[in-house]
Amino acid sequence: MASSKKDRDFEDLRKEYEVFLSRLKELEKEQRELLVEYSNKLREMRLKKIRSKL
Amino acid sequence: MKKLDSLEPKKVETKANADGVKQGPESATESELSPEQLEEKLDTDVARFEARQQEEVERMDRDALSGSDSSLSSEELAEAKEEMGLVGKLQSLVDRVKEIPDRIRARNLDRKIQRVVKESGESDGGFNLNRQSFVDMLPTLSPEQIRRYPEIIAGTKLSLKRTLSSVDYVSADGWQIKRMDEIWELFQSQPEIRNEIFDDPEIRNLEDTLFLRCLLDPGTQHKAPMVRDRMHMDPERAKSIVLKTLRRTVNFEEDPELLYGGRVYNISESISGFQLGKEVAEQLFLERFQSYMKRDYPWGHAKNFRNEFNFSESEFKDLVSRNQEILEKEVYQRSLKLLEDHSEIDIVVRFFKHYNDELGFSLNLETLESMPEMQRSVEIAVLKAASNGTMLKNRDDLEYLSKVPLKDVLGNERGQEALYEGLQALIAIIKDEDIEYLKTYIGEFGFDLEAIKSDPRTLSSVRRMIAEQLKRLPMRFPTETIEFLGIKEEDIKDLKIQGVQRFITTGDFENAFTLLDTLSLEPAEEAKVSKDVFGVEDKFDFLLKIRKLYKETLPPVVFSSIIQQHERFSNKNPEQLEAYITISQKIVDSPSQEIQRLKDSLLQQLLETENPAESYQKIESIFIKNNLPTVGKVYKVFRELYPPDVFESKLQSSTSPILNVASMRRRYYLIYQDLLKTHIESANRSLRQYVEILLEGEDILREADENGIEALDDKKKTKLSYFFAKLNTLFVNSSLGTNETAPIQGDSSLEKKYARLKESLLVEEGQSVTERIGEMFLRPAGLNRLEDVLEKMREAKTGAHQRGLDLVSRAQGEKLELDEGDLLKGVNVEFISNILQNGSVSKEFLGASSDSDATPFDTDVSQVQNTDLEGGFQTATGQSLARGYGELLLAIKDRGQFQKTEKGSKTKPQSDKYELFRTGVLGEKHYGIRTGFPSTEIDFMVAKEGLASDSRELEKVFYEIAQNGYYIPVTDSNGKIIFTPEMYAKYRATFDGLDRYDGDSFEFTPTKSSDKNFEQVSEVVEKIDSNIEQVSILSNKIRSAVERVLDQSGIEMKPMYDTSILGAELLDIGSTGRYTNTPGDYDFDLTLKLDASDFSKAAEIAERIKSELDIEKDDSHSEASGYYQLRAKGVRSMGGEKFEKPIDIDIGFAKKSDLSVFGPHDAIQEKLDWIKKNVGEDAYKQAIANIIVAKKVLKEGSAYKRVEHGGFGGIGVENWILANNGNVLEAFRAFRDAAYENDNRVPFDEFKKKYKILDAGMNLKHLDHDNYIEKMRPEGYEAMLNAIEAYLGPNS
Repeated sequence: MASSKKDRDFEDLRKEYEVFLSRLKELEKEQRELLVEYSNKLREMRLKKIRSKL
Repeated sequence: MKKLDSLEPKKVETKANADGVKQGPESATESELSPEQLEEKLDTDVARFEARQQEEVERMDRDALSGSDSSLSSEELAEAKEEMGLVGKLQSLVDRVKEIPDRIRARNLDRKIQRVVKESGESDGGFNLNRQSFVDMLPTLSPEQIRRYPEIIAGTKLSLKRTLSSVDYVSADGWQIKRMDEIWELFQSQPEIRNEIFDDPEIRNLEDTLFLRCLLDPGTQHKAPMVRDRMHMDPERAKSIVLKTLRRTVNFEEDPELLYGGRVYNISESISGFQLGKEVAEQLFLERFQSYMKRDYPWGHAKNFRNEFNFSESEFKDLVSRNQEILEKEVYQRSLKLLEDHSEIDIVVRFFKHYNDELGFSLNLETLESMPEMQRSVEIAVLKAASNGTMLKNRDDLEYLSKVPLKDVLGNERGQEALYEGLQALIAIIKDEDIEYLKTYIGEFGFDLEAIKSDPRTLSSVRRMIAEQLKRLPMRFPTETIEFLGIKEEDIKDLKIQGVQRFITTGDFENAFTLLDTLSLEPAEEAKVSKDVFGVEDKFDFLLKIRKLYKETLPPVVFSSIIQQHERFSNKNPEQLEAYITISQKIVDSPSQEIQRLKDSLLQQLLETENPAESYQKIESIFIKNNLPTVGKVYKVFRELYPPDVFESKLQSSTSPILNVASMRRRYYLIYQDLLKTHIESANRSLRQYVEILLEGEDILREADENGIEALDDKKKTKLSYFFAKLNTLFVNSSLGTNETAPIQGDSSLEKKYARLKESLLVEEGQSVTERIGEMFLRPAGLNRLEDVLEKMREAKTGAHQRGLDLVSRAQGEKLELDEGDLLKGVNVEFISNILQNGSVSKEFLGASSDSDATPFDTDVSQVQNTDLEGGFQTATGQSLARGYGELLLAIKDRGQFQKTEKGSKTKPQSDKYELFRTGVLGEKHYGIRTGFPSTEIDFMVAKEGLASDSRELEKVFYEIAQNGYYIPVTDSNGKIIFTPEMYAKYRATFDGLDRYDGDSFEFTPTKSSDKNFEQVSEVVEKIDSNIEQVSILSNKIRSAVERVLDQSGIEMKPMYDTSILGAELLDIGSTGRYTNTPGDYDFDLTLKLDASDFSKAAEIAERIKSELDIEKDDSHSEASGYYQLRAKGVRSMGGEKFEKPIDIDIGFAKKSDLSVFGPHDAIQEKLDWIKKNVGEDAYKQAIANIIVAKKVLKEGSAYKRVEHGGFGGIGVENWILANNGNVLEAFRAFRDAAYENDNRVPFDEFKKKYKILDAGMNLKHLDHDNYIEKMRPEGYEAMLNAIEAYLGPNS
């Protein structure tokens, strides 16, 4: 009885972990977008620099 | 471009993948992780998220800074980040990521707590605090977390509450409350929560209750401090409870809701146990003393006060002297109340002396006199006495105290009112014999006679009472009172003379002689008195002689006999008369039960002899020196009182024709034969026991006879010695009081004992004991062997029993008939027990009956004649001569058992028949049966109207028949059967297990393991041994204290197991004597039997015993006859020895010469003993346990005590349980079943008709057998049913 309860708790934990992973994914997406945005900005600044030298 | 491409977001993702970050569904192994690993992974995931972010930014920055023309400066990078708010945004991302595992963790922990809490929770709201998971978790929780789960706190509280409310006794180690301690420890790490739990008002209440109970129970009082600590009770709270309780205790206040009235048993115990200090102790003592003075019985002892507070002698002395003034004032106050209550000074003086002695006070009357309240109290005392109609004792002393002459106190309006009130009270209440008192009252108080005159009704009542009284009692009214009341002097004398005569004829010699003393008579008046009393005019002087000899301790039969035989006695000189009186007194005081039972007949016979002193000595020696059954003794007494010349002189023409013509030797033999036959056929108990013992020793006796004692081997000698001992016990039980050694007793040698036996059996030279026994008990009865005697007894009984049954079964319409020739004999009910045992014999053979004197040596009967029968049954009995001789008629049918003889005819006696002859003295119907007839000859009994309507007396007859062991029908005066075989069976069943009455086997129903109360009964069984031990300890304490007191009065207590007949005896007749008391509850009900010569000291002894006791409440009382009942409630110590709990001690005082009867307690004891002997020790204990359980159940249901509950009391319960085979369930069911008809409870009055609880023992006071249902009240009946039904539960 107690162990099955424990299993259920574990199951709950695992589910929560999955929720966590998907949330993590969402955040990673945001992270990626932010990084891409940053990367683009840097690239833009470098292109600007090149263009000014051309 | 390539480089730029590499900055594509896609690349970032690729990079991340390439880093091998496990994320999302891609990580395949996650389902195999343990919860711990999963939790760990949460952290690594977060760390990776953060690390990768940092790595990416650094990489991008690095790329941007590196090499080519397009490289950016650090400043530019910073600017770009700034512009984008990158750092903040990234941080916020990290923060958001980090938040998630915390939440998961918190939720996970909650789930864990929830799980533990759920696992530990119990279905009924309780909480298992012992689970390791909970114990481990508890310290890790915050108060908030704990509070989130209210079941933790609630469950803990519940556990505490349960513990606290289930404990009713705390043992020395307090294990019953160790739970409290455990919980306290468990919450060590949670002080906030712990306080919250322990401060719960309900828990505190329960703690208080348990603590108080522990404090109040004498068995646990000393454990109270330990209990307080183990419960972790607030010490201040405990202390205040202790103080409150001590206050209540010292002030004798009572809280009926609380155990033991809410008072502690041992005051000093709690003072020291709770370290209350000397100051508090002193304060409490002062309060104690103050309250003590307000009690009904304020006679305290220094020793007891000291012990109560455990003061040392010097401490106490010091304390008393410091507070002497306050304390003395209390005594003075109390003495005023004593004065008011008792209306006498003596008691005040004694009271002062008592406290001066005990506490070193200097109390005195002078100080009392100077008290302002004193005069008021004197007046109250005087007026109270006056208005109650009681006398003032030591009036002079009161007079001295009073500032106003008492005459004036009584003379004023209030005084006269009080006196008038008293007079009326006296007239209303007092009986005629108290008129003397009234006179003194009027005289002593100086009552104004005019006041009587003023109210015509009072005047006429007083006059009537006094006139009535003058007829009966000596009066010494002042002449003026008599005159005032209008009663003539000459009338008074006349009334008194009538009184003397009346008292003498009714046997009230006490009053007759007191009245006589007050008379001064003229010769003519003396002659009148003499004529009235003796039937002749010249015996007045003889009356005065008798008067001088008169002693109130002697039974009236002595003086009645002397008056009846005045012709003989008036010739005696004073010494001779004196001798009669002395001898009579000796017989009356004899502790021998056998003598007491034969007392009246014996006295009457003795007074007929010429030389009573000599006769008495001979009779005494018959009882002392003869180890014989009653029949032997009766015969020997007869021989002494009727030597041949006397025998000869008593023979008349109306005497038995056979006796008349027989030789002297033959006459004695015939009488002996008749007596023996009568005793055998009455199955006489004394003879039966004697024969049974002889039978046991017959072989060994024969051997001793043949070869001499010397020749016996050791084993046989032991056997012989055992036989002598038994014979001796039998003897001691019936012997006469004397210090002489009994015949075959003590440590004398076997040879001596043997010689004594021969002596008492009158064994002749050359004759063997067995031959002599045959000669005595067998041949006269026509028998050959001792067994035949027993067989004959059995035959007679079963024959009579069957005859009774047959008679009833043949009866027409439940009526018995009388036939011509049937014999009737009238007897008094009080003789029935004697007659059933010894047969109905003439008074020369110490027969107990009111026979006519006209025909000696036979028992009178009246024959039913044809003419009597014409008017039916009632007329036949009414016309019989037997009607004048008692309320009960014995009917004997002629079944051929008689040898009918006629005057003058020479007939050879037939030894197997009873001689019946017409005496004709009192008429044609008057017949006689030589010597007498056995009780088994009685065919039925007729209760005359008076008896038939007196259910109490009738019940006695039924009991006597049942006890005797065979059925005899009883009818009313119409012949209707009122004692049926079924009734007999019911009464007879109460004698089951009583060997002395030949009772049937006791049927015992054990409590089986399948019975619902098996456990409860077993628990009590377990306690029985220790209860027996406790009772013995206490009873020994009491016994030795009583012994000491007796010793001071010069009385010796008979050692236990001593069979001699003299010496005081202390018997435990209460439940403790049988161990049927509730273990732990010890109330002693004792009887102290004193030798007649010591009995006058009873009150003195009682007072001395009381002075040895520390009594809570004294309910003792004495009776005018000198009987004393000591009732001490709540005795804390005896002779300085403290009891563990207060006990009640009742001691009734009795004379050894009182007729001792087989009482209810004897019956119960014998039945329990029977079970022990015949069923076994376990059954015995079970029976006791069943009784104890029944008492407990009824007590709890308020259905036990007689007075308070209307139940049938302790002895009733014991009888009831034993009447139901010693099984409480059977008793309960039988009671309940009888109480219901068609599912409805029947009213108590109905119930009483069908259910009885009969007692085999005889009520010592009323000399009858109790039916305990009759002792109940309706509310007790209802309460009992409620308790029984609750106990049995439904469907059982």
